[in-house]
Amino acid sequence: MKGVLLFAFNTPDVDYVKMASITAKKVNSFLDLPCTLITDCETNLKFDNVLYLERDASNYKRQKVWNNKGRYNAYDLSPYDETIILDVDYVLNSNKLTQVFDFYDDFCVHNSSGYLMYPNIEQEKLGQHSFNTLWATVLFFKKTERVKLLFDCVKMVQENYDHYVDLHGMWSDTFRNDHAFAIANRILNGHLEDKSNYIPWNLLHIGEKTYVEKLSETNYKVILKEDKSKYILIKDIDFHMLNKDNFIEMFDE
Amino acid sequence: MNKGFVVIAQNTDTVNYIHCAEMLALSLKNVMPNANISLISDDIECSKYFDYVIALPYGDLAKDSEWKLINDWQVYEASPYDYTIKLEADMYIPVNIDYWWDVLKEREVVISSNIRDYRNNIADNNFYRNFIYNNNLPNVYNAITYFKKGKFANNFFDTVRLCFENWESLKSILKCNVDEQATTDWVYAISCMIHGIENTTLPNFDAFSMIHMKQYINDLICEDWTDELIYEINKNCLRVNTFPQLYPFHYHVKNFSCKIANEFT
Repeated sequence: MKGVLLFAFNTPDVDYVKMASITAKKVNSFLDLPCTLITDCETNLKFDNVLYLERDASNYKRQKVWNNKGRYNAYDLSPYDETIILDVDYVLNSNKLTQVFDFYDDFCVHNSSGYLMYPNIEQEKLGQHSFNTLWATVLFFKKTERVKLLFDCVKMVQENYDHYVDLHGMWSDTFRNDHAFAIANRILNGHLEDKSNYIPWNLLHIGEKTYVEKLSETNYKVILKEDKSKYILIKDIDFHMLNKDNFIEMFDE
Repeated sequence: MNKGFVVIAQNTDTVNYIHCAEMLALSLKNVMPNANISLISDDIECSKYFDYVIALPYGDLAKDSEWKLINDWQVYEASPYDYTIKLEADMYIPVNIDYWWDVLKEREVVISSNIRDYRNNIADNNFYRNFIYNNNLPNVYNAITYFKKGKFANNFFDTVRLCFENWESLKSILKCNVDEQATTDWVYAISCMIHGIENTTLPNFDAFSMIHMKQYINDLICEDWTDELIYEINKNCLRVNTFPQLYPFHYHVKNFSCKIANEFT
């Protein structure tokens, strides 16, 4: 059985569960898959399945709590044989992700990304002298012994994150799943790169310097905040939206 | 097939190149126990690390200098092997490179024509190579040089010798600083040009390559990479900032040979 996992832990500033409900609807609609929410709060919003997990609030970003730890629990919590973990701010507009089920072995993730309206941004590294990060925004896995080791390794990296911050010369000690999966994936592959673990297209980010207007179900206008005369129209393209307020405003009905 | 690696190493007042060469031999035998390796030097005391220790056939031609590069051309005559790969002393061999022979054996001379950074990626930084680009010469790295004994290789090394011996005249027709020194890389590049780039390089064989730890090749802040990068070395692997080193490792910082010695002796 295939399905999607969404992690959502509300903060005073962002209603992540609400965002998850929007994404869950899109999962049902575009991917035709069931969706499980992993959260620590009660909700009346509609999900196919809700599982409860105590949050680890020991992570901070921009001096605010950032509840993104504990994603390694996905392996044990997932009720599915084949799982997609999606960030709740990933906006589905197509069924493209279902193609991954046809070619991946047991684990697959984005290794490259691009920012809409900012095509020249370089691939992000963990640190100046380290390797490129992976993007845990979209993550496919099957329940295999190898993937179990991977998630165990992510747990180990999370628990020893300060060491990895030093080792890779990371610019911030804020825990990121992107980095944890990048490190664990390397360790699991003998510190080498295994390109078979990568989704063969870019993850598309829409950053905080752009504003998105929804024109219709899968049509969007992406506008540069600093110069509103510059915009691009996109259709049927999935994207990762970094501006949470814009996300909620756009889909609030 | 009588094949083997050779290293030319002569100690100077400041650098113990023979110790570097010994550690190179140790690392090579660690990953390729059956490989032959010989030392060519002016100091011909027996060393347990080498199959042969061979005197420079024409002696030290740079007795009063810290730069011993002018002796390099003697490698052709000195090598005890029909098929030879010359390596630079301050290198470490982290992986088996025995397959190189299969690719190289059909050729007369092959000089490495690419280098890599510690991430194992081919480096495209030209910072150290102005002389090459200004004179439109092939970008070769003599630190890894293959040759098969025969007329072609003999001629090639004759040209290397002539270039060293006539450097002052050569400089007058080259685009370079008036005080440009004859380095083995410059002289090999000129020889490659004279004998044909197509006869002396094998660009598609890009595994015939080394990791070069000079500062700008690796985008480092300081010249000594051991001050800036984290490394782990043991008999099973050498990793720099977690990257396993998959090619011959030209550590450049000469006292790194002591770190190798700590692990291997």
